[in-house]
Amino acid sequence: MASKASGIFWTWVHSSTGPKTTHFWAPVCNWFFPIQALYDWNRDPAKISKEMQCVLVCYSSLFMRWALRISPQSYILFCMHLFNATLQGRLLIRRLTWESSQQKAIEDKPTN
Amino acid sequence: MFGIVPKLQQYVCAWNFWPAFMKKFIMSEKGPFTIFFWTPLAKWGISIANIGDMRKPVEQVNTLQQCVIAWTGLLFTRWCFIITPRVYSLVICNFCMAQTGLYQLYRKHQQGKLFTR
Repeated sequence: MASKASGIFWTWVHSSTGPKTTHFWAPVCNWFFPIQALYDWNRDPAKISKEMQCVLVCYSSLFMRWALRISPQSYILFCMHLFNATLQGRLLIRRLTWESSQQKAIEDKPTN
Repeated sequence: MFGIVPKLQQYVCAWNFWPAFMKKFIMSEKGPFTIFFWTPLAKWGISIANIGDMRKPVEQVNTLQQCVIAWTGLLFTRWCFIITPRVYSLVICNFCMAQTGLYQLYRKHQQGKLFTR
């Protein structure tokens, strides 16, 4: 049983879409996008780029649809883009909320 | 999902002033009413947003995000060469994405702020 499992594992390692090939690592590195968004959970809103966050939310939303329309469908890619769109969207909302509070602070400031 | 986009596609294609090549483009499998048209544009959007961000101060540049953009761009440039069919427009798109990411990292390095959040 153990030798059969290890046989399947090493067959996969040496396969044409295994971890020794770009076919494996290219989709895996896509996961670094949501991981980066998790790392920046409490990033200072002044240091968030509104334009880049908008683009990343749109990018992931479109690729969510793309992952289900390609053949074969890729549910892992769909999940990755779903996480990314949500987490990058959270950073975007953080930035927009901060901008709105800054604007409000300027308007509420008493003029002498 | 609700069949709205195919109906919209039929409606737009029925307009009389379209020349034949435009009607063919509208109805094609990779035309503007399919997702396959818009996804490469979204990827170009990342490069364009990065170019726009080059005017901003380096404190606003996210080191980890640019590392991810550069690394993804480089790896997908290589991936686009080994898949079939080879799509050179995607190669250029991913290459540009990587270059803009690397340039942003270089900007941060020049000011000694590469490892500051």
